[in-house]
Amino acid sequence: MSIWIHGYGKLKQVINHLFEKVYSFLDKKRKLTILLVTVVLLISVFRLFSASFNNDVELMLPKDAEFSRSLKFLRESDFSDKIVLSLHLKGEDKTVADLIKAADQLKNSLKSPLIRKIEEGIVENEVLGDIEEFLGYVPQIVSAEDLFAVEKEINPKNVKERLKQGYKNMLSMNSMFMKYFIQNDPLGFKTKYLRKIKDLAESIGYQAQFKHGHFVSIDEKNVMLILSTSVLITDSANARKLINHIREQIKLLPDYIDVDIIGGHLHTISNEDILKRDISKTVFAVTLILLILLILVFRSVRALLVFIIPAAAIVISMNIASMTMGSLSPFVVGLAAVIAGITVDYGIHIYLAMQSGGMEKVNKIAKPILVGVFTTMGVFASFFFSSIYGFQQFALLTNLSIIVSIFFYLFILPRLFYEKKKRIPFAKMSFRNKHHILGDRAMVLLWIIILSAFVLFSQNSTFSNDIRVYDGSSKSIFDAEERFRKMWGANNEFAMLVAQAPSKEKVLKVNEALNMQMKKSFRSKEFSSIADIYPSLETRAKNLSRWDLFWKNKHGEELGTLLREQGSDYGYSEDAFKPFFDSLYTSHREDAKLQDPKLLDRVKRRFLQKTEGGNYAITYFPDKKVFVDKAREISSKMADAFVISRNSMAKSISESAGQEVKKLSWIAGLLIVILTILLLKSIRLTLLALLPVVTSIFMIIGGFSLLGYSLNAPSMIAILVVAGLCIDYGVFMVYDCKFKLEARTFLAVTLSAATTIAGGSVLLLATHPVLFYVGVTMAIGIFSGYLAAAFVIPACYRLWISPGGTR
Amino acid sequence: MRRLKIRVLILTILFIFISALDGICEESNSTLIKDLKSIEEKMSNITTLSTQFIEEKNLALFDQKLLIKGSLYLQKPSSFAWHISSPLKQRIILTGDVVAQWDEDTNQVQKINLASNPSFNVITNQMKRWVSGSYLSLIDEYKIEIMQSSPMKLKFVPFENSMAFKMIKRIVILFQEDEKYIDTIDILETNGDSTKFQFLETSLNVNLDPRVWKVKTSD
Repeated sequence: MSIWIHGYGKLKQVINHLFEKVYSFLDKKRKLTILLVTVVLLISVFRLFSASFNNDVELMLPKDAEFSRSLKFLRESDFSDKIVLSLHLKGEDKTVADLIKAADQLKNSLKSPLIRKIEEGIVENEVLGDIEEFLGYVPQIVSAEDLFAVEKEINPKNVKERLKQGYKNMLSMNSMFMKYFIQNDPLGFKTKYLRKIKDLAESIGYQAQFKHGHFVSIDEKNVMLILSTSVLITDSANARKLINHIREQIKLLPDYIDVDIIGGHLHTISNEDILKRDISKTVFAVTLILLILLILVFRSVRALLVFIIPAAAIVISMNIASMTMGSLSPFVVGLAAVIAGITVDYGIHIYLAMQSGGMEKVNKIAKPILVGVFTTMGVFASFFFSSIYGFQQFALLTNLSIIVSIFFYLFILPRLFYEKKKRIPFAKMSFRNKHHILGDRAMVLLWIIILSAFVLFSQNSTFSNDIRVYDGSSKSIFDAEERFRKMWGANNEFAMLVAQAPSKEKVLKVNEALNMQMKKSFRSKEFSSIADIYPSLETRAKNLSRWDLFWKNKHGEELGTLLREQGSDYGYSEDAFKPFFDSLYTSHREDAKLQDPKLLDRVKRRFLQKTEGGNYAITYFPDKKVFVDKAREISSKMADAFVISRNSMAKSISESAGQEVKKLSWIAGLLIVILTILLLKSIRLTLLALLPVVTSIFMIIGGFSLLGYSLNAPSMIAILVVAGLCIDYGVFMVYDCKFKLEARTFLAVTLSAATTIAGGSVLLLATHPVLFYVGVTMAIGIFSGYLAAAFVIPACYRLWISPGGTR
Repeated sequence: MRRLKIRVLILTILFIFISALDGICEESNSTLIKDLKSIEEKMSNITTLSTQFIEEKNLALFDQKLLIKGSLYLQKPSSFAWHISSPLKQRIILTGDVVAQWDEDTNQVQKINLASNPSFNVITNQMKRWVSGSYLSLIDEYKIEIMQSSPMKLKFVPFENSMAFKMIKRIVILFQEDEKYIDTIDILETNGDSTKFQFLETSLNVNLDPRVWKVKTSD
């Protein structure tokens, strides 16, 4: 222990010596110092213009191979590059023809380099041709199992039943459509595969009909255009250009048309707009507070430097951080900039100390400032322990900003203000701690009562992992999406079992294997796979040979006889089923073998993807835990398969982020306690300094519970920031009590808290949920922490540590 | 110089001729729209319809003609009933977005939601249009020609890009003498098959027996 104390004393001497040296150097080379600082700052600003930012969301996610693979797939596949335009007909006197005309007008006017393709539907007259082609392709997809079922159906009873159904269909309204199928597929062997395509299209797509080559809703009041764009969802600048272009063209449409735009790009823009608006509000409020402080308290334009220093610090720190950690996340930079702004508190302390007693007072408060700096840095250093790379960047950036700020405040700021004959102007306001309003005991008792109440309230607090808290898009976007879902019956709540392989043939084989496993674990209606209607070429060739052999053997002749015999009862003609038999024996043709039917194009797009990373085949199933678990079990047995579940991914990202924040909170808490003990060298003083931290944490948790809010990751991060600030208030007040600093500490703490509370309170008006929760946390935390620091610490100090003291 | 003058003259004459031709076409198109509107207006006064029909089908699928007898009921805005009495009792009742089907052979009622069965929706929509006289909305799908004006006889030939093009060669609709309702609908298919509807005992704007909307005859 004595060695430690001796070592610490030595270190203290070295630091003091270093400080004196630096002070002396800066005093002598004042102009050179200012020049150097200006040059460094200018270089930093200049470098900032060429700095690149990393918008990748992965930077802000815990390191996890499955997340990375899922995100890579979602990013590379064409799921995220779609924007849907839903045109709605308002006028009662207008028809679907007017709607289609408007859709065509819009489609033609939308041409832009940002739009790769516009899908409007399919041309109806091609559908029948496509169906014909598909029925010719069916022998390639009839498996041995299916053929066995066909064999069982070739019997007099079943044939008679089928022919009777065909006859009844000919009497009905839709006979014209049904006739084709009766002639080409009297027993419905092939038509059932057509139904599979319909099921696949309906299971994940929209409820739509085709009219004049357009997607038209069932009520004929809506038409849909699907745009494919080269603009990434994260590319907000181009997303804005694209959406603005679309909106401009929509304005040119007739009055009786309403258009809803649906797509992820809108969320990007809306979040950016809302954040900008919220930040503008905050900047305005903070500027106003700054002006009031400048006019009423500091009474000097030069005091503006106190507020400029954090901005300069973040600019310099960003350069250093990007040199060491590569491209920074803009989210991290934004958050770190806010934290850097908090260092203005140290500036206020130093400025007020200079006002009250020049450099002598600055030297006196340097120690508590450094204690505050180290504990605050400790809080943010805890982010180095995170597995999230963005958090590690945050730790470096905040610590660098604090170091640069404090360097400017302690060494540069006093040099700039130093004038031998002239005192720094300051307000002649007496702002003392009016502790005598309440007696010390009454004050402590009141604090215990309030804190106990909030500790009780905090028992009911909840933690929410809902990832939607990060999406602050405007209500109109969510409303449009809801309208779209109702209108088109779009079902987006599906998870994916993805097969991956370097070639298309290989991925189809993996998909077939997955399909077999899925059939064992899922009911047929619980999943959608293209494997049954689009197997690998190898399987298709095998199926075709089997089919040919099956009919050539005896079954073709047998069925022909049965159709003739049973058909005569209903008046079927001799050649009624000629088209069926013609196609039966021509399916071995080479061209049929190699070509994919056009009808599959529509579904293939959804089930098969080709990206730079390879070929993917997707099986869809409901995004519910029970199904996701089953699919995971299947994929775990195959190296080439993985599961993507938006719900479980969102949940596990939230959970991981929540756990990460909780872990960091523990580390930060421990670091605060250890650093405070080490720096204050007294358990009792440490406990007093920690009092505002403990108070603010319980007030926040209890306050959230009282307000009916759940704690979430943004509020937890804000709690860490609050803890970093409150420990500063605690340290300052403890030092003020113990060493009687006479450096206007109470005023400095009050001003620091007031500016932060004001800034935080403005966030209560924020529309974006993340900012709102940060605002609530900051407002409650800083206010309660300040009260504890300013009023409870002096009272406790007098009662517990210095009962005879007069302060 | 003279050649140039001749060319200018020829071009001017051509221009005048084309403009005139265009005018004639526009005029004929506007006459058609006027006539179709007039039919729609007349038919729009129909709030309920009850008619018997005989449907004669000449299909290559069968050795002999299919002769279907039945009745059709329409109640605006969205109720439609199709009853077949021979050769097999069958009923199709459309109310709003739901179609109910029944036949005496199975005696089972099958219900289909049009929202989930777009192809059936197309068929019923087309049928409703043919029997309710909403021909103006068909102008984008068919080339419509007035074959005779009294009684009105219309010919519909599907455009190449329409769904009907591959199946239907032409449809001819003949109105009754008093032009109150349709007399016959004659459909010729591309493969030579044909279907002819003849409407008899047509009653307009009468109170319909509620039983016509029952899908099972025994109900």
